[in-house]
Amino acid sequence: MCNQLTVKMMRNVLLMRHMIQKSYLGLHHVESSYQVCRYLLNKRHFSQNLDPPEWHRNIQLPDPELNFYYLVNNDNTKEIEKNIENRKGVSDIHKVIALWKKYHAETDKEKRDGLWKELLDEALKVPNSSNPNSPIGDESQARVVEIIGNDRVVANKLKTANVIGEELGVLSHNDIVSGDRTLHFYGGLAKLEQALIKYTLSKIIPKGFTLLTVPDMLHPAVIEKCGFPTTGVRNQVFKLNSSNHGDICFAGTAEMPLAGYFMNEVFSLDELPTRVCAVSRCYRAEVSEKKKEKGLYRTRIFTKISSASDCTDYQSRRLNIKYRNRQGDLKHVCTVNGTACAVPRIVMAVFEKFRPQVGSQVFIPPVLLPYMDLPEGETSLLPMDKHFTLHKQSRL
Amino acid sequence: MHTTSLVFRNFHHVIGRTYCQKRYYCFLKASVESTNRILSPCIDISKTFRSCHGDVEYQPSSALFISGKSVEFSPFLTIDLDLEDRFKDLNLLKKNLEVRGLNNAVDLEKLVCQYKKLTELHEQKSQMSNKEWKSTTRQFRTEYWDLTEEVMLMGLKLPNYLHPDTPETVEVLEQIGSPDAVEKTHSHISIAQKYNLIKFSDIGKKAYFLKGDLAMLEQSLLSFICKRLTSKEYIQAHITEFFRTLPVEGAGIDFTDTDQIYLLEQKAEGKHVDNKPLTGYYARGVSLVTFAAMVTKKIYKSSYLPLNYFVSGRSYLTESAQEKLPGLFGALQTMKVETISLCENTDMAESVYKQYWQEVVEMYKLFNFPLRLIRVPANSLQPSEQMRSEVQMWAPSIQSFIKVASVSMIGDYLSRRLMCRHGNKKKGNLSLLYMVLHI
Repeated sequence: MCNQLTVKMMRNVLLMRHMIQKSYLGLHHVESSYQVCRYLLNKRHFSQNLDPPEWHRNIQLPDPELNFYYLVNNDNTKEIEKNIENRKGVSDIHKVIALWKKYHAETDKEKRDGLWKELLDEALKVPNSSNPNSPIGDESQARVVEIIGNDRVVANKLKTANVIGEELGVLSHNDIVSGDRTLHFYGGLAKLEQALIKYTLSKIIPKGFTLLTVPDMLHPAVIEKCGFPTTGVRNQVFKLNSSNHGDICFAGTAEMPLAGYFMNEVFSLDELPTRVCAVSRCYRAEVSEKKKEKGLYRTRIFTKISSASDCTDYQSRRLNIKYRNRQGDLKHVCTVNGTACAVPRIVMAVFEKFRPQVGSQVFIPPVLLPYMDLPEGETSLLPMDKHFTLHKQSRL
Repeated sequence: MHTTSLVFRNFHHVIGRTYCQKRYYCFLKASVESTNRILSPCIDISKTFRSCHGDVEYQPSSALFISGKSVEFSPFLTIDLDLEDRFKDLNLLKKNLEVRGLNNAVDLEKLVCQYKKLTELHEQKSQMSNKEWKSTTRQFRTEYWDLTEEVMLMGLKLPNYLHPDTPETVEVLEQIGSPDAVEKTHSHISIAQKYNLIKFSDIGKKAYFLKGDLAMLEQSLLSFICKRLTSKEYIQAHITEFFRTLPVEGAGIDFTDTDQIYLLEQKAEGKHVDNKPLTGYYARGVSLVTFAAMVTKKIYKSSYLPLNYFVSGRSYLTESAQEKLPGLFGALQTMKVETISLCENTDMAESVYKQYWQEVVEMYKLFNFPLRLIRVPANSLQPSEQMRSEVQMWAPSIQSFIKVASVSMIGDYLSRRLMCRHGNKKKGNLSLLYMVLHI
């Protein structure tokens, strides 16, 4: 119908209605035509000029500014090589040094450009240096910094969080409709998730963190500049079908869009440190071979609040995030990223800690109760009524 | 030579975990015990028959219907389109398609004709015993299977019934407050830039960051609505944002149309498997698809109806699926709260629809903005909707009303496609669920 009436015709009807109103004749059929025209005008394509200009430009990706002084210095080669080995990296520092020398020896401009690109690609694979306090090795080498509270001591083996959740009727796995390693939360568990988010925000925002909402669909380059590969067998990034939707990935952590937020920014000294946090859904195409890592422990889609890992200037060199020091020089900032609350794993902890050995409920930690919207006097997650049964056959 | 067929039931295939049982048929001699590859042997003669006489090359083109000739896949559920009832009044069905603008989507005459042929073939088949059916010619069986598939796939494209109250042009139910009383303002884009509340970005399609107080306002709005719904005993749920083809197709979305829904890339052994119905994976977020995923193959207890659920979270719309409005009005990623009510029958659904509508209008009146309440015309309905009423709020910067909430009558559309019922299976009294959706 929109095709049949041009905008000009619609405006004429509007003008006629206005004139008739002025003359107090009030014809009903004009009124209904007016309403139709207003509805259609509301559905017309608004001029794209009304959109912010950022939405109509291509992504402005900065060239990385790596610390080649450090990378190609022979005094550092051994240390860098050892670091690559400890981090199980795939880069080759000797190749970087060789390319550096070749680049500087080359005089032909075109070849130099090609060499520079090759050098950058190779140098970008070199992982960040490791803090001397970081233990080396697998998770078994993790050093306990502090233990807060006591371990729970029980006579018999406890049920896992997944089993507890299913018994309460608040958790279900539904690979058939939602894909592998995805979870559905119901009732009290959905409330517990919201309570965890509210509680965490109530703690960190007073400490000077600014809350941001973040986009989840990003250009892959933003994700790669954070240090996460988006191609290859080992990548854990969900991507849209590129031939239909272009190059778009889903963020696996809010660190990625937050990095994009600060890309190409220059701070003044008094703006630092800048602290931001975000609540986001994290999408990770994880495939864990370990049988123990299933359910709540390793899920593909979950909610997380991001704020701690020290990245020094690794990300800022790739994302062009700088500040101006007192002398007016531009320097790369250091970034610190972290997770304040990864919901599924905290839920696991709550279920396993606060489920009594006898009884089917899970007590809610007192600090979360104000955020739970539970009926007065209720302090635990009780089993939900079984509203349905799942039909397992293909016919009724 | 007599062969014994053994059926290996392998539920978890490597390629993105198809949700049909994938059966590997292995014809072995009696000395099968020597092999160590048997997982759970069982004798299944009827499957033997399909493996001999089905089509090993067959690939389904729908997640909701899989032909009987499929050797590799068996159906996850059974759909019930009730075509016989729909064809009783063909003029009504034709009018439905015409006013929705779906004449070209479904060739109704061909569907009716093929359905009649299928009915005759089905009559013949139902009079045969199993033995007689197995001894029919391959040509007859293929004709039967192909016709069934053709009719079912065409039938799946039929939209929901049209509610008698759905108008052909937009119907304004009520206007609350006057837009004339509100001054024309600058757009939210310039206001946001002035007060440093939003950063628009080029790092993704229509990417934006709400900052500080505005981000807190978003959290507060969601919290306000969730609390209000919880107080009315709606059950909160949190479902994922990515879905397999089954609930997408069940919700009436054409999963092959990537203008309507985001298709995720999936590879197996280096090859793309995105575009196959049984391995498709889609990003949509909070929508009717969420509830389709939730209710699939569930049998609800009638005593609990009406049962109300709500979900809040991210929604991802393609540019074609989103309204063409400027700035955040046309954002592709938004936060939404949606509810669904599961009802026993049409009367309960009608009553819930009115109740929902009143609650929605009361809630938006609290904001004290000019509102317009409309009933959308048939050509603006989704295939899954029988009727939709919208709450529209006045946007001063663009001098236009924009949709902020809606209530839709879904009826038994999802129930028929996704095999969800209410009642007691053991007592044999299962009935269709009727649904009302509120955004």
